[in-house]
Amino acid sequence: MSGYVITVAITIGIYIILAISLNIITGYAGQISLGHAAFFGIGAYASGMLATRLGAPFWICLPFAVVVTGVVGAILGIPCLRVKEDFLAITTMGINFVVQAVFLYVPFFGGALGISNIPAPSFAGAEMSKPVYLIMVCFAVLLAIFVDGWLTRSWTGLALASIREDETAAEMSGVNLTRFKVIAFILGSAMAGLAGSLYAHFMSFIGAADFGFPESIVILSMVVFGGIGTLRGPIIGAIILIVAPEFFRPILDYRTLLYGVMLVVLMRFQPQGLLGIDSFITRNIKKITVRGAS
Amino acid sequence: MDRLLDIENVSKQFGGLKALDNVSFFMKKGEILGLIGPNGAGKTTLFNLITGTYPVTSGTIRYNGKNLSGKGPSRVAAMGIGRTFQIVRPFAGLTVMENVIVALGVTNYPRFFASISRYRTRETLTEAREILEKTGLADLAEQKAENLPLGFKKRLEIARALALHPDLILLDEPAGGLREEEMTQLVALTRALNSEGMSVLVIEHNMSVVMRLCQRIVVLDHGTLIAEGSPEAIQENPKVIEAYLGSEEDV
Repeated sequence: MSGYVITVAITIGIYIILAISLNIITGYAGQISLGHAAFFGIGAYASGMLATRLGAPFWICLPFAVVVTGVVGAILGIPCLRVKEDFLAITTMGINFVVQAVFLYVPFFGGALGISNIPAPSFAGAEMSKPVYLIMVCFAVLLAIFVDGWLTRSWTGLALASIREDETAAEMSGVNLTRFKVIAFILGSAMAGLAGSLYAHFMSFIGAADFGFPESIVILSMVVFGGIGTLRGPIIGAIILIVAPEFFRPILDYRTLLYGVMLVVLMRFQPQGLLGIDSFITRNIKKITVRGAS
Repeated sequence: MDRLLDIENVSKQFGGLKALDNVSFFMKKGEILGLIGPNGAGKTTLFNLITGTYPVTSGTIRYNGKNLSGKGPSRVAAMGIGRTFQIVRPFAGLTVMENVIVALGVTNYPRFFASISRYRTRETLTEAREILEKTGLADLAEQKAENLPLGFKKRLEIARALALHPDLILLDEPAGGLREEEMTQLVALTRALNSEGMSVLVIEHNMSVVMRLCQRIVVLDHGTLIAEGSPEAIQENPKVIEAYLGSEEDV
């Protein structure tokens, strides 16, 4: 595999984790978030700063980033508990702008220069090669898929779904809204922190611009494009939206524009996304498999 | 006398509107109590106060002797008060079975570690199926709730309330929009639940259902309690007749 393919594959892996993590908050618990890149950034900064400032090894930076992002997710989740729908969308967007501004303007976070020279992880005594890094990212993706599957099989997953369907009825059925929304925010943020850490040590340089509002929209596009509320959706969405621009190099500059147009079209004609529950493709796959079986 | 629910001098003010004004009544254990009154009388508001959706402006609500004030809806539900809604609110995208299992969580998965383990255990599924059988929904267990006709959605709400293992269920216009035959089934179901020891507080506009079902009736009008008594006494109470039909001077 060429270095280029490996780079693209690593990027896909990181975005799959991001899309799965956002899907927990928005797809399962129904809490719209337009600021997910903030948590991606918090994970990246936590990991990158611990490595460059204190010289901590990657294997400490990674769990540290996950914990820090989870805790910050819980704290930033608190103002989100009292708002719903469009107000929640605006609140999360605001959180994204605030977090990005803090990275950009507070000297402690490196200001406009960002964090540079983040070391690549070491493995078996040497600096980790790209293929090995890819394998590690694959394990992280598997971990995210495992957590997702475990969540959807647990009663907690069902409680999140009940909140998405009808908050009032969920409360009256004994579901504590605060508790389960916070669980969703913590889980989704911590997972985004994992992606952030992997991103920081792969890129070796990170800056506030990497984690802005447009980035949040990219992650949301992946979830919606693939099919919100499913596990396969965010995975497929991330793969397609990372790979497609690589094939059409000339449009790379218009990536965000393309995502925007695509979101509008999809919302109009196929709000379930490509492989969402009861989408056009899912229905037909089901038909074919049912016919094949009988 | 065993009191299950005690409403003591309860008032509720929404801005300038007094939705409930110094209302007091009680409910005995094992009773089916009707709550009736013209539109806007404050019946659903009272339900929302009992379930903790809104705080009371003044007065207290006691359930099994415990003060409910300051307890949010999920805690009130966990204490064993189930409710249904005037306009049905099933979890539309979930199956009938999943709808019931959500409400089983209070008793089956109260601790963190239980709540993060697999929920499709044999005990939970058996319990959910029993509730579905009792409410006549067993054949629809794997259907999405949104695909059910209204009558079944209403039963699903009762099933969901039953999953809380309640001592008291609050039914908000259970017969609204139902056909005659469905109403008869509903009355039979409510009676069956009552004979198992469950107490029922029911808001209902359909007088034939109220008269068939309730052992005692409380009447609200414009936020105040105007009458209380047996169905026969209520039917002949001049104040109640006036509240529903208006007094002669109005005409």
